[in-house]
Amino acid sequence: MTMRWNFKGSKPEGKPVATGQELAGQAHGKSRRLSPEELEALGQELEALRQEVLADLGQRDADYIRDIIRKQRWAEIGGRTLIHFSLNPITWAVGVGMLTTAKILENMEIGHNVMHGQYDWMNDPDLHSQTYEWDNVCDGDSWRKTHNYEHHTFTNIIGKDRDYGYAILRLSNDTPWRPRYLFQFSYFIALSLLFEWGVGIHELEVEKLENKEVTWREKLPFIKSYARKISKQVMKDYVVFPALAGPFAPKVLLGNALANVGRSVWASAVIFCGHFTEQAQTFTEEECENKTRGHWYYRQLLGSSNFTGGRWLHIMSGHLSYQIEHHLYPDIPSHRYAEMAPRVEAICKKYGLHYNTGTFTEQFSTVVKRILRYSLPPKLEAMLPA
Amino acid sequence: MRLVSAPTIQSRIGSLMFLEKFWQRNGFIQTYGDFLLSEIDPLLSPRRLQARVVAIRQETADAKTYVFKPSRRWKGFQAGMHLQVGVEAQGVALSRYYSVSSSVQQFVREGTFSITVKRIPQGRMSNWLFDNLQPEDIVRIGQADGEFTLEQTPAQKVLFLAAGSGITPMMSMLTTHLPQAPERDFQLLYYCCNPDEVIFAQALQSLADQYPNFKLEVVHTDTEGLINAEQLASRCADAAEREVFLCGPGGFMQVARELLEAQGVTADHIRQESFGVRLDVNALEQTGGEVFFSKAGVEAEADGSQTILMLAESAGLKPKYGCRTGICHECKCVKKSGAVRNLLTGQVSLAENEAIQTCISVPQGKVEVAL
Repeated sequence: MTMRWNFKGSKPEGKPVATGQELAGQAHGKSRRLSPEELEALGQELEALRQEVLADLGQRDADYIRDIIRKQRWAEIGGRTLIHFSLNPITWAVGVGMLTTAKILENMEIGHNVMHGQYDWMNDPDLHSQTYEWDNVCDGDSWRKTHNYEHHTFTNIIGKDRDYGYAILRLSNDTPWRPRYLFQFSYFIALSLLFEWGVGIHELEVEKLENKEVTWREKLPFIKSYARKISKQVMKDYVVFPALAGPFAPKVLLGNALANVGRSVWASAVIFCGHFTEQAQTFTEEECENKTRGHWYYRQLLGSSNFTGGRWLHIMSGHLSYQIEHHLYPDIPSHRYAEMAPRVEAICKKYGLHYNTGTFTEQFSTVVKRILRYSLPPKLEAMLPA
Repeated sequence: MRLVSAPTIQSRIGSLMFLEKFWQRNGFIQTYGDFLLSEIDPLLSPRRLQARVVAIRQETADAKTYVFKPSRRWKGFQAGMHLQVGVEAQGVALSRYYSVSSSVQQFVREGTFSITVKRIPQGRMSNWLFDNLQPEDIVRIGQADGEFTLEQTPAQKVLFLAAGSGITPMMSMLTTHLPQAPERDFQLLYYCCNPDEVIFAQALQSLADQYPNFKLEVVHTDTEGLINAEQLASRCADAAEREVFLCGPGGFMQVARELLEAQGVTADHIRQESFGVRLDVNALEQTGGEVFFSKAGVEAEADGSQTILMLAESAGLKPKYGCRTGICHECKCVKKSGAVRNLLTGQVSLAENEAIQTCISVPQGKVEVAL
């Protein structure tokens, strides 16, 4: 059975103009363009690796996620306790650090991965993708739709993947330039600080409301569920816990806010390194139309980028440091990506595809450069050195 | 006479029902409260009902008794009831239903109960229990339930008809009621292949020696043949006067039922306990068909040898499931159209938009389910 992509009738207005890079027959950045036969073979090799790991899932994976959950919960309990009962700024700061760590672990290594279905095979209702609810203002169901379905299906297809620039940032010449993009670096800073709120409101599709592609009425169910989730999160971090501290409410409120902002900044940095680095490729709807699973694998490979680091950097990034592997295998337990990465890299080499990786600093600086570069109109941008 | 494990415990739990409901909701306090209590002792978990293995006894070469100390939230049982027992095997949560095999008195006295498991050659759960479960391990349990109890009948004369591991609820009833009901007349007719396979051989014999109102008959089918009319008539001539409790493999129970009815026992005096179906693929009618999983947009070819759950799994779906034998309803989903046969009842259902248990439903022709 061959699955083919079909975007019939779903094209947005103001279709982006294909740049030279995307024209058929040419290379994608440092990667070769593959023939249909090669794409098919690539898909089969990557699929074989997936089946191999799926067949090997077992106690080790269950133990891994339970161990992370246990550490996260102790960090959360310890952090909140220290914030509450701290006697001096140092113990308070340690508490904030622990709570930030717990929140990062819960969202990135536990929530995001559980909601991808990485642990559905365990048949544990507490770890089931369709019912898990994370500690984030973004409602779980909304995330499953905008992230699991839209972003992971249409990865880096301009106009289809709303995660590419989050409809706020212009990250390639495929998006028409507007004067407001001159200030996009400040949007980037704001988005980083308030990332969870941005992710939460993502499904509202403000840009589509603006040009009347969707109506407010159609968005009402989403707005309701978003409001419900916001009130839950606000009650917890900004009302109940501070209130419990009585006269010390301000330090609890500040601590919780810092932990949430800290997590937002880290999460956005990690995620931006996953798709917006210098060599991360974009695709047009035309070239993805009617394509097979082999082409989907190809697009995931070229549209994602990794960064290197130690074991805990990987864990704290929810293994999105292995963004390439995550996009090829979103439903395989994330801690397996480290073992799969050398084999994916070898497959890339065999097919002449660029395996996009570097240190966190290297990758992140190309992201920042990209944001600055494409804030300029195409004529000015063309004058910059490549 | 109504024998409940500990009336005081039950009423205490009853008054705390609102707490039970509170802990089952999803929220910060529930998650972290449960976590902290479970870190102290898994049996303190207010969200999950669990038990600790306190002893394991080998009964026969392929049967073991597991003695559990349940959480204080476990409400106890009536002799003859069953409960769900869950473990994690290679990371995967498995659960099955087992009858309690110990007495209510033991639970009241020591706070423990046991189940007795026979190893089934291809059984995932029984093999895992045999090879892995150790004293001090924690298992998940459900509350005890069931109507296969003496409390359900006023009958003074009782016939227990058991085969193989079907002895377990009988053992619980005998050890519970014999010391308390000298006026009741009990007979046990227990079918096993050979003397080595008789579970509780010694315990049963000593009960028979101790209580004159208990008559024990063990039939070794290797030498005496499978259950048949003459044998039943000679071993228990007054079956028609008795309330019959029947438990054993499906085939055994079916034959026993027919024989009993031929001997004049009416259907309303036969009580039976079945533990779902053992999927005997060869016995299924081979009917082909196609199943369309509408949510996933995937179609699977069916040859009549697989249930809808198995088909969904081999098509790469990960639907919810529990017991996989038609008991717990965890796998329930809506069948939008088409006919499926229920392996437990044999009935074919044609209704549209009907909830079915995928683990025991075999497609008959073209079927669409909302998975």
